[in-house]
Amino acid sequence: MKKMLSLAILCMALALPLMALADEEEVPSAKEISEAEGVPPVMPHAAPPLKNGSEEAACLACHEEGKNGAPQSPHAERRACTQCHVQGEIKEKHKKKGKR
Amino acid sequence: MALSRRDFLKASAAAAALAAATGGRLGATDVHAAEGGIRWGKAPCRFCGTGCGVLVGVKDGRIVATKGDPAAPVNKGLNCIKGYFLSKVLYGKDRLTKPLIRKGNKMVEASWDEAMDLIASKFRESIAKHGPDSVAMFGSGQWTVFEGYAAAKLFKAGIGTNNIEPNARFCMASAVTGFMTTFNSDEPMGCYDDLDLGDTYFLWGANMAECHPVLFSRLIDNRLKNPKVKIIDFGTRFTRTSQMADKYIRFNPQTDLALLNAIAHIIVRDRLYDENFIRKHVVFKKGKTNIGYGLEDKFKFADDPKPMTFDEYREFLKPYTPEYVSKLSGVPAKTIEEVARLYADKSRKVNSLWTMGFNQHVRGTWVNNLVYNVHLLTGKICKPGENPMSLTGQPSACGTAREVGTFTHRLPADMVVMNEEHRKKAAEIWGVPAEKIPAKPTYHATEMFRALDRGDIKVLWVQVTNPFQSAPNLSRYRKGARKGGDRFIIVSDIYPTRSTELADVVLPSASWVEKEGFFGNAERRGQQWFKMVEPPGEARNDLWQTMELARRLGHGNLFPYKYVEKEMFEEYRKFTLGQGKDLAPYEAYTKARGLRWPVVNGKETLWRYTEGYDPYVKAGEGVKFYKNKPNDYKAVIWARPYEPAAEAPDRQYPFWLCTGRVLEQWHTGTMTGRVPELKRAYGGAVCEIHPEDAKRLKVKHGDKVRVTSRRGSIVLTADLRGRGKAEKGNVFVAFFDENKMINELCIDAYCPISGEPDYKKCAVKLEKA
Repeated sequence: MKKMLSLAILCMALALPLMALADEEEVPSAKEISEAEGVPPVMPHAAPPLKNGSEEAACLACHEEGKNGAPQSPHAERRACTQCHVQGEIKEKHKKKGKR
Repeated sequence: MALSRRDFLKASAAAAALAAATGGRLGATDVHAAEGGIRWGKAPCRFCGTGCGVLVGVKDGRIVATKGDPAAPVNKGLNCIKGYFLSKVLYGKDRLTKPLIRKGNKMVEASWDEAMDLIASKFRESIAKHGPDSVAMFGSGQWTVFEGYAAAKLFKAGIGTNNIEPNARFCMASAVTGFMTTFNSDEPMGCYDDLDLGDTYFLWGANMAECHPVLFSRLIDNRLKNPKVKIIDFGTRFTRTSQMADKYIRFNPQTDLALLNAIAHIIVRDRLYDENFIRKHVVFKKGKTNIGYGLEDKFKFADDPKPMTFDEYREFLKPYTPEYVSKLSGVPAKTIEEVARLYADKSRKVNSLWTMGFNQHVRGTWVNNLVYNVHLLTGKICKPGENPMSLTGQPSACGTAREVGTFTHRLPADMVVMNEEHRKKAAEIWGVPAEKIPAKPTYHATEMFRALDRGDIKVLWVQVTNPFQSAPNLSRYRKGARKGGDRFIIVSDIYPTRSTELADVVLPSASWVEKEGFFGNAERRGQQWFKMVEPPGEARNDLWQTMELARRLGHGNLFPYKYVEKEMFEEYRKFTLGQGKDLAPYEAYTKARGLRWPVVNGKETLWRYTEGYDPYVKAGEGVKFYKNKPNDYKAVIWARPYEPAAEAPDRQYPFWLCTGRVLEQWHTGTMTGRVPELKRAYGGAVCEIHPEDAKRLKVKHGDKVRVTSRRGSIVLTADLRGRGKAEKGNVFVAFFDENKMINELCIDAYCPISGEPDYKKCAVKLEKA
């Protein structure tokens, strides 16, 4: 997960260059892409209580900038978080946070 | 700006791991590029009617990855969580791989030959003994165009019965009759571009955030870029959609009819309408009232439309004052006034979006008519960014069920069996005598299962759907299916379901990219895909299964094709040309990420009936409802009153029950239920109850509660703080759970015009279990 985190930050840094990819000659291998294009990670903690009545505000309170050890979202402009990130197994260390 | 290959991959991995659909070269240009042993192909998603494009990665004959297709205009690389798990839905452990024949209480493996021989003999026997109307096919809005076309052709032009229906009757039949009665042509004038171009969105009975997530994210994106955008959610339950909307307007079930008339009342009262548009493009009509609920077997209804004047319509609207409707609906009169003004605001581009809240409604056709009324009064229709838009729930409810016409009364391209000219045209294309196609529709879906229960239908073949979990008043029809006698049920599916367990023969089917296919989505977009992997074991395409029955019944001549899919499509296409429903040649769809019909001279149509976009509208005409010849090429504003639901809460059954979907599970959960991640995220149906109601019943969150209607009873876990929040006096239960079949409680009342049942409203009681 830590590795993913650093990659996520790298991704943010590379957000602009990615746009320029269409002009690049190099094409990644399909295997590499398939590894890259995995499914979105699930929530390892209970969904947080709503903030200002809004789910996006609640998620992005931590994930927008990566506060409280939360992974930073590489696409904070996408506000419908739960359409991709569904409830996963709740890890022990997260159990105290949030409530169901 | 240079970017090394390594950097890209790292970035891509991270981005994807966090659900970014970055989109690279691959897929944008060469979808069939093979590299690293993985071959990529394009396909529309298998699930809802949105029609997202996905790229499917295949290695060693297996799907190893899927991703949102960056080149697909519908989703631009994004998927919802179901789409991300597409690679797993075909690989559940209990996939059906061999035909099964019932021997007593056991299902015994058999060869295809044995199974098809048995099926053909049952068809022949029943037709000889009881006539062609004793055999039936129940299909699906998940049928590919080819599968639906073959089934319709075999039944209508071969066997000679109109006993064919899709599950789409349970899902959007009211949308069809709404379109037909108002515009005389099915399917929307607008398209998904309206989600990006508009600024005011009214959602009616649509939990888009969970049920059309990718379209909802387009709306949210639009709002993020344009601060003018407002999303107003009309609902009877507070959902994730309500949560993200700018305003949530709670109303009492069934009063949407009154609310829409109140909105029209204000628009007419205050002269907020577009007089010029009305004069040029609108006629007024009224139909029968007190039209019943279809609860009796063999219920029949025929409307009797009468023209009326604008003044008479104004009179009709008089009683629907904001004050009166406020009492009925529970919406403050002030809010109704505000909403009407928002609808009529000339500086706003207004859209209405709806799904099952409107369609699964005992006045489903009416409520569809009523939302069109508001758009027609204000002239906010047929313009980029301003349209009423009916959303659909199945990948080809539009493309197959509606356009091919796999309903008892329909033929391809909006034609109907009742019309002699239409039958002649169909017979000519199908190469059969016109007398072959029966002129009388038989049973719509609910009546079909009633006929099976009564014994009027003996042999029923079910393909690509699960009616013995999804029909309303389920217990009756499940019992009816196993009443014995001459009844014989065939179910084709990919997994064991609550329908296969009632079958006499179970046929293992190929699914999605295990066959070549074609779906049509909710914005008129036809999308083709090629077969990419072999189906497991002996599983075979439903198309092949239908043609194989045809061959054995002596109707093989109906399917004289070599390249079946392509030639069948070109034949089907003949129905559409010149009808404003024109499809492109098959070849064009193999390359494009879908095309929206009518496609004329290779050009798709974004806005129907609109000059400059629709090739059927001539220069200078502006807007022309050219399909509505009987009404002088005008659209119809209908005077449709408020009438109550078929069953409302009373002292004995004091709660409204509403059913529906959740994000992670699709339909009856037969596919999504096989994906562990989705099952974990939402594994079983729960009963959403309002905390105050729960308190009165001494029920706490997580307690067991017994839910009982006049038709059935089940025990569920009470959910007081779930993602959806029931309003007081209402409960909600999702229908995907095969172990908790809530449809046993649902009433089989339906809209008399569309035949679509109301799954959203019946009365139940709750007890702590």
